Amino acid sequence: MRRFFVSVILISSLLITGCFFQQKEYSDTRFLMDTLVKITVYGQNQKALETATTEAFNVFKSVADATDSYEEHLPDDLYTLNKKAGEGPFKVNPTLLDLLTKTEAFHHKEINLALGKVIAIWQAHGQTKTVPTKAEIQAALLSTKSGAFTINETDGTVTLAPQASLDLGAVAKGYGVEAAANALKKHPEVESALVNGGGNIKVIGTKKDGKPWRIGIQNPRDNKKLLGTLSLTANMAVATSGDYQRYYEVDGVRYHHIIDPATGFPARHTISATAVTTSAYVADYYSTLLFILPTEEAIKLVESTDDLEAVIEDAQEKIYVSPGLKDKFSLAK
Amino acid sequence: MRKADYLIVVILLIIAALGYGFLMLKNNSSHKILIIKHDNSVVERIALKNVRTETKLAIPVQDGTIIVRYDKNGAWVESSPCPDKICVHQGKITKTSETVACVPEKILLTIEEPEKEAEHDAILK
Repeated sequence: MRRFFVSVILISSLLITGCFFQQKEYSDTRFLMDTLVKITVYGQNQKALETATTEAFNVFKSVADATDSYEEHLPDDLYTLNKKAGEGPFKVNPTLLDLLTKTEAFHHKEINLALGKVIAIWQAHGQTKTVPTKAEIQAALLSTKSGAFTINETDGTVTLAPQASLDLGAVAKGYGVEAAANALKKHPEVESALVNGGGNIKVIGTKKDGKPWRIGIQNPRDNKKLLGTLSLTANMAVATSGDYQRYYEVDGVRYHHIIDPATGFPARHTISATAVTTSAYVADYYSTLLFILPTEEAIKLVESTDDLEAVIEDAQEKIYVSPGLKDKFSLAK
Repeated sequence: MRKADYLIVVILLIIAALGYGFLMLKNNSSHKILIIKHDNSVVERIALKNVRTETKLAIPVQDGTIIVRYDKNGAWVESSPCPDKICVHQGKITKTSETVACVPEKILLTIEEPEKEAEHDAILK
């Protein structure tokens, strides 16, 4: 009998402490890099969670400032670098140098960071809902050819050819999300976290219930529905590139923002490409690359690259799920 | 065991039961989603049941910044640079399908209750 009562007391105490030491959640959302960035952190100490989140936003902001091609924030940022095209080597911000160096090391011609001039043309036409002529695009493409820019890692300089202009839209958000996640990891009080920046997600640790993070991927042709749900385990990242996020239509044709460097026109093989890997930066890079590549080539690339999984919906709305995601991705009904 | 021991056990059981009941109630709260739109594009979807603390959201708009606040029950516009401040005067929305709109700044807050949203930690758009 006594043993029974002792157990009852112990169980009750456990339940009570369970209520008192419940994990706290803190979340903040800010507009950065022309998108909404949301950081959600979990831990016991509310104050520490707030401090870590603020710090992570500061880190994201520093990446945003260094990689913004529209506005000057720093004397050595991307905006200033673009202004110095044709003027010889220019010493750039370390964050910008790191991002450029890492991205160039991938050597995929479908990701061209020198598309600035072409993107500017599309943006101007987007304002007036018109389509640029092939000649207009061809002329701008001349500024994007190899040799448009060279990096000198030792000196920390970048040299832009005359007329060349860089745009980091393909990778900057993922890089920012990864940098923010790394800032959160420096705080031991952060037990788990989710950083979500404009189509790029990085998770830290596991949820308190031990279940995987559940990430919904939007249906590219119906924004009220999902394409499916992805289960993400600790410290994984995912990014989606689609033709439905930023676009305008002329005569029923959709002109979206992901430009194929070979043609200077929006890539047409795919409507949604999701890349899953360990780094948010790498996920962002691959989601753009998989979106631009012809679908068969994209599938080959996924299956021959370590630590890379993907969900790709092609222009015929056929859905490919890579073997590694078979039990982690469930299609929406 | 003495009488006092039994009393302690009973008290502990009651506290535990209350705690358990509190948690159950919390889990049963609805799956309301606060949707914030700017110029017809969704800038944020928030599952209100996951909101623990009152949160401030600053949205850059044409004439400055709109400050939206939300908590687990609903959302309201705290301040806006628009001339007539109808959105601010509208107060807090808490029920499904309720909206607050700031037409000059093209901001719309609305509460919806779609099943799919509540099952996810985040939605990739």
